[in-house]
Amino acid sequence: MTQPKSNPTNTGEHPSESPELGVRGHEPGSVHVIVVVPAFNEGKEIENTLRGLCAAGLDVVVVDDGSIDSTRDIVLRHPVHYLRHCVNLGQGAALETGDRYALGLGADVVVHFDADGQHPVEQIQDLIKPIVSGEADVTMGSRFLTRRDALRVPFAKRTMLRGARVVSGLFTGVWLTDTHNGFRALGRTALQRIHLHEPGFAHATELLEHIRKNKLKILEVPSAICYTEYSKRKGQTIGNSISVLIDLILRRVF
Amino acid sequence: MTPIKPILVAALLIGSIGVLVSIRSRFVVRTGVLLLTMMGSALIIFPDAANRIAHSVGVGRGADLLLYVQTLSLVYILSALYRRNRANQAAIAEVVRHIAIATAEIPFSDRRAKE
Repeated sequence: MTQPKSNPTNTGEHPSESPELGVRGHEPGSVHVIVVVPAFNEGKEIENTLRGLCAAGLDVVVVDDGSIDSTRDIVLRHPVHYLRHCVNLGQGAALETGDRYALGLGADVVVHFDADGQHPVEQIQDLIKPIVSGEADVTMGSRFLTRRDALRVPFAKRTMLRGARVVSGLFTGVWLTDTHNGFRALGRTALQRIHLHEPGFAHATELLEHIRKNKLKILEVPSAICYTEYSKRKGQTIGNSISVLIDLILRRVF
Repeated sequence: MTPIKPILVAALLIGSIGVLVSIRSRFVVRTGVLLLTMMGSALIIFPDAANRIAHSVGVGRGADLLLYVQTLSLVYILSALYRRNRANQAAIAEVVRHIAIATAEIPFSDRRAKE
């Protein structure tokens, strides 16, 4: 995607009002944005996600984290970069692979985007705007910045995410409203300094630790999430969250 | 000497040799295994020694002292294995990542641009 560095496109509070995202290719003086989509057995939903991203003219890197369903066949129908982990490592590891590959392609900004179609493509513009303008090194989508977005989150999930926010805050010293949102953007400086070692879902908290240690500027951007039955099923359960918490503690101890 | 003692000492020695042969570990770990084997053998042959050592450190029975030492050893071994497992996982992740990037399938338009 191309966007003039000096003139970040301004949009309203909600991305549906944002203009066209741009075209593939990267002329001199433009910002090269690459969307990294980690996927593990996402054959059912990834088609729509990729269709939306490609229609917006975005460069997309799909990291298939050892899927055993039709993910590969579906991804290869689209003009995207396809990387495959020969064994399942976890979402954190898939994102790290995508980030490194994107850096190699010369990305100025990398957007992390869930494969299950939870994030509207139009919001990418709002997410990358603070990075392009130099206001932030990392931006995180948040479901809790506007009341309208927050009410879309089911009650049980909202409660769990509030707990996760406290845990992440205590562990990292970075207090955000929505720490476990898969929708985020990293500028080149952040990409060069941050290397995720936590292979599973604990990477979200690890990312915050790197942000604090490297003194990177972070900003939250309102982001609505479209929960489908599929994404709710695939999402984090309380059991998973406890296991993430144990991972974090063990990593601190050892 | 009761018949069980030589059997236990032999089993302990065989187990220790197995560990020493299979671990590719540091000198300290190997020495530790050797020392434990020698101490274990001595305690099998002279069980009263365990009681005397226990009393000297304020523990009621030799069996209790052995249980404490065993529990501590288990915790140490588990944590060492956990650390080793994490290092292995990280190495595997690095290899898998390297392969994924080296074998990336790129879009047709980008392939043409590269050529």
